[in-house]
Amino acid sequence: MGYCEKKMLFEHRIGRRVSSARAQARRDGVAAHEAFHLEASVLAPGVGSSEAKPWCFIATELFGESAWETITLRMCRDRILRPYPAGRAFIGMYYRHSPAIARWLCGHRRSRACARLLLRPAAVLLKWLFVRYSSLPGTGS
Amino acid sequence: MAIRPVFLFAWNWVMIVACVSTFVVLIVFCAVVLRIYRAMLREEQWLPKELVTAKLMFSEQMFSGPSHAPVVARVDRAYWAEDQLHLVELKRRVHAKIYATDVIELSAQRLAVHAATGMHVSIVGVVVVEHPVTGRRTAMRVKLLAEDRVINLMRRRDAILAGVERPEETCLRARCIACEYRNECKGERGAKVYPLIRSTPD
Repeated sequence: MGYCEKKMLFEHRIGRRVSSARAQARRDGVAAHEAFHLEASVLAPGVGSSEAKPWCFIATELFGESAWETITLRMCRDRILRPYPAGRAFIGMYYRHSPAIARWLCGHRRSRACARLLLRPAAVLLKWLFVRYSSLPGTGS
Repeated sequence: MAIRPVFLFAWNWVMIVACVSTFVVLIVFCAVVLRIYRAMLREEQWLPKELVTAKLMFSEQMFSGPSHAPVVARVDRAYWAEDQLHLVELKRRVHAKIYATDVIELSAQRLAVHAATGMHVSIVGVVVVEHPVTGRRTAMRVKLLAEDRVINLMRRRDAILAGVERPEETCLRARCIACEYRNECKGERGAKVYPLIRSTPD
């Protein structure tokens, strides 16, 4: 066995003991695995996983999960950004930072209004683009 | 006439604020572009040649083993290439090394994935070691254990926990010194026989 069998036995008898250094290493490992999974979700959206898929955090927080703005921004992510390496890198960066921004927006009403004011014209423009040019990458037509 | 100096003063401030904010926006923009560029360069470059064009099938997926080998395994990634699944395990280490535990872990995953999906799983797995500081990834191929060897290991574990078999110690001194159960282990053996920590007096 590659593992110390005596340690395995002590863990079974006494219970698991974790030093602070090992606990920190474990937390870092979990964070690295989350980032690894995030990359996989960006690369292959349909990948099978027991973990939750990342969301359009900010748009969901501002407009709601099934609002047309959120759906349009998701379409922008999947059709315009995802096919290209630079776009995927941007999505990955967005997924890493957007939960914190969404949490912050949750507690600031004025900032939410400002963010809505900025994002809505972008969503309108993107929706118009999707309707006008239905042959954008990934639309399949 | 007094309006002119006031206006100039205000205008100076407006210009200063505009310059500073433009500078800040420019720096943020450059940082974002740089990060995107770095992420683009890094994307999947660490993958071994045979997996570059492979399809990513699973990421952080749980699988349960067959009834005769009750094992639950979480696969970091699994790629489909050449009519079989290739398992990829991520590790975060300073040195790009493979340990026996990695081989056992991937072998147990292989057993569980095959039992749960029925797909053929490659006998060669990939361990990706990510450097904690630089984030650089190194992929290393490793030959996995056959199913009967994994089952034997599981049986041995059960026998040790039941007290039927005698447990063996690790041969790695560093692991022994850093062990959380060192005192219990030492007490059980007696102070005389402890060759691994002879040179480090308490």
